[in-house]
Amino acid sequence: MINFYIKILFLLRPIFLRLGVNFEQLVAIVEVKLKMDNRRARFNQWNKKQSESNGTFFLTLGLYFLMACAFSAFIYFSSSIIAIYSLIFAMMMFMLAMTLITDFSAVILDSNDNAVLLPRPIDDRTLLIARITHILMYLLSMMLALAIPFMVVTMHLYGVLAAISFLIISLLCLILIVFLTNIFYLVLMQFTSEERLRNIINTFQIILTFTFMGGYRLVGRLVNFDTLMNGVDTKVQWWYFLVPPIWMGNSMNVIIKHEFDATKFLFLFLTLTVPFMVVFLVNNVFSGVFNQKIAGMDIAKRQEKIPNKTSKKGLVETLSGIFTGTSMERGTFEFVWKITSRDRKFKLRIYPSLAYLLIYPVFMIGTGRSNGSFVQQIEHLRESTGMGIVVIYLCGTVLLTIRSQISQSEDFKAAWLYELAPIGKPGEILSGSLRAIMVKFLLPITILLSLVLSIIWGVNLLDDLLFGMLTIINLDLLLSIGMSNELPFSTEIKKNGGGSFIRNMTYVFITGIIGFIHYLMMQVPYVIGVLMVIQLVLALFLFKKYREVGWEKVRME
Amino acid sequence: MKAIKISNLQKAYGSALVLKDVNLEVDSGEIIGYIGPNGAGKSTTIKILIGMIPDYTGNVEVMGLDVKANPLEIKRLIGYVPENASLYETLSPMEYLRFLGSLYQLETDQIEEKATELLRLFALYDQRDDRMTTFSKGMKQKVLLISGILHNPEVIFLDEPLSGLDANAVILVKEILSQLKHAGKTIFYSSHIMDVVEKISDRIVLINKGTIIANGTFDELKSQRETGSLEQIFNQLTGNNEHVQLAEEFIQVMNR
Repeated sequence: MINFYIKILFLLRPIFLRLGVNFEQLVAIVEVKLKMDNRRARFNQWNKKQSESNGTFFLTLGLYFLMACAFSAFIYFSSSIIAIYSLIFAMMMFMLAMTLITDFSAVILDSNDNAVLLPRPIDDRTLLIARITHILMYLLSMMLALAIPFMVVTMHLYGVLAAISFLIISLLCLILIVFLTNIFYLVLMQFTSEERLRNIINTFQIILTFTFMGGYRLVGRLVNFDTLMNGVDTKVQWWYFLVPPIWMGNSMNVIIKHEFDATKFLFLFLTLTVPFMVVFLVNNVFSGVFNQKIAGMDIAKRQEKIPNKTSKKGLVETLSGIFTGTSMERGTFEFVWKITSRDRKFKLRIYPSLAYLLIYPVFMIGTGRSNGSFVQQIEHLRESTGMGIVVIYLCGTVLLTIRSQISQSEDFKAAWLYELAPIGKPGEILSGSLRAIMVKFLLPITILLSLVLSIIWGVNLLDDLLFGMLTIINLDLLLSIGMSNELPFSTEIKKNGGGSFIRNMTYVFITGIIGFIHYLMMQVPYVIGVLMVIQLVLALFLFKKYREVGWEKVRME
Repeated sequence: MKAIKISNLQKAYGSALVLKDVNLEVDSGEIIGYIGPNGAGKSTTIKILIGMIPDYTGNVEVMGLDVKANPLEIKRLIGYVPENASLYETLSPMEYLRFLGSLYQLETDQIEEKATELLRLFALYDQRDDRMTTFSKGMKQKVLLISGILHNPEVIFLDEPLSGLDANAVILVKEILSQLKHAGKTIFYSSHIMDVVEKISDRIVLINKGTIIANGTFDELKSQRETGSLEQIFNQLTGNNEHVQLAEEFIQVMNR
């Protein structure tokens, strides 16, 4: 696999040389990074067994491929080439961008190799482009997994030339999205100090998620079901020029139908040039800033003090007293709570996921009716309680998302203390960790959600909210008790990623099914009320069981 | 009762036999200097003694308890400070020690009081609520030392405990070790710094290639050999007399 990537790099050698990059150094850096991604270190070095697997990555590729296969059928049904290809490119860009932000932000902003690379005679440009190339290699595989089904269908319908054009435009699309995301980060770095950068980077990721989602929705406005079937109206709006997938859709139209006019030409021109302009910008304007700021991000400030609270107990200590039973649970509760608020890498990984899970409902409110004022849309929503259930379960998946990330940490080597301390039942640690996540993340979301639900649908959805959250908690507990667990912050951060975006989507899918069952049951009066009692009893039982989980169900890396 | 009793201990990683038939007895209140070249099996021995590696053959007892049969009881009785260990650096020393204390199921107030005092003794009182990301290696090592003794263990295992400490802290730690001995604690101490081992150990145990090749007080070791310092004895016993020639070759290769 690595050799394949390296071969691709050699094919692109002239481009790299053109950029003024030291090609030999670049290949060396990328190769070593790819190798390291495949080898996950174990913190107990005396168990020197190496595993070279990236199963999750191939699983992600497989899922992307299947999704694209299913989606490619639409090309047959659509009568508008512009519409369908705009939509395809929008989907590809959106998926790549989300993967990039959720799975690779930590890699882009990684400062671990500073100690190794910065003292060496490598120029800034080579280092930055090597970083981006490293990520590009993964995204290239993902893009190919997505693009191949579309290519096959395109070839079948419109011939080889169209298929090849599709591949080329897909590649441009990939370059555009990767370098565009980098430009966002770089502009941000340009205008902030290292210190502020650290604080605002999460906010920024959320804004970025919004932006890409907004773009996706714009394409959705252009291309809805009607236009797909009956052809798009030819009037070109001004904002079409701001949305890359629409340029690309139009370019495909030009290639397939050979229709030329000034606007069409402009779209084609933008498709072909903008990706390279973006590369040029990154390469020539920003590369100097990047390493310097990344280096600065790690130097923590001395003044990062917590106010001395010797006399009165802090909030966390109070909460841990309320929500936990045993001493180990209490300790772990505080431990997880504090690290999740401070570990930048953790926030870097988790906040973008949270952002799009929480933003989804807001966008859904918009999909109900594309015209009409906000008040009208709310009125419209009120009629469908099903949407309320969807929102509840989407927010509930936040728990599963965080739970899947909590075992990873940069300080995973510090997990030796779990093996040293006299821990009879690691379940107490796992349960302390779950309680902290529930109180810190799920509880505020539930409270916020109860307000939103009350405003839109009235108080009668509140019992459904409670039921939904209990269902998700029980689901999580059942999965945890049944399967193997990892202790908090005890495994290395997975870098050969692509995992979290697709995993989050799987969670959304599973909870979606449960939500649908919930919706069906809601139609019968009193069912939710009765089941709620059962859920509560089950939850109490499972919490007790979870606390008793033994070492045989815990996986130490 | 012996603090540590190892008989016929063997440990293999795959086909590589790291420990071949190790036998050792340590009395309560002794300071043992455990030395040997890199890769001799020092850390493996210690990790077996503290219950971190349960799959070995032979019999290992700590404070009269079999390590395999009573892992939890033994973990409560021992303290361990590993070499170059990682900490959860986003926490402050107090928070880290609080978490650790809760794993040992100590009372919160007791942990707080003890941790504060110990940090004060190590001149870390003012930094007790700072995050450890900013700490120097020596400061982290001090926190690790405290974390190893917070629960008042009977047997203390130290792996290179002085690494990264400044001269003042080294003197303090050496003094603490001898005070611990007076308090009846057993100390099992592994290091490469020979003159420290020479000075503070009651008994020196030398391991090479998985077997113990010398075991006795410094004077006993010296009387067996002609030479003076522990460093030279170490060199002779572990069979590396070619250092001058090796160093010369090193320079030659570099100059190529």
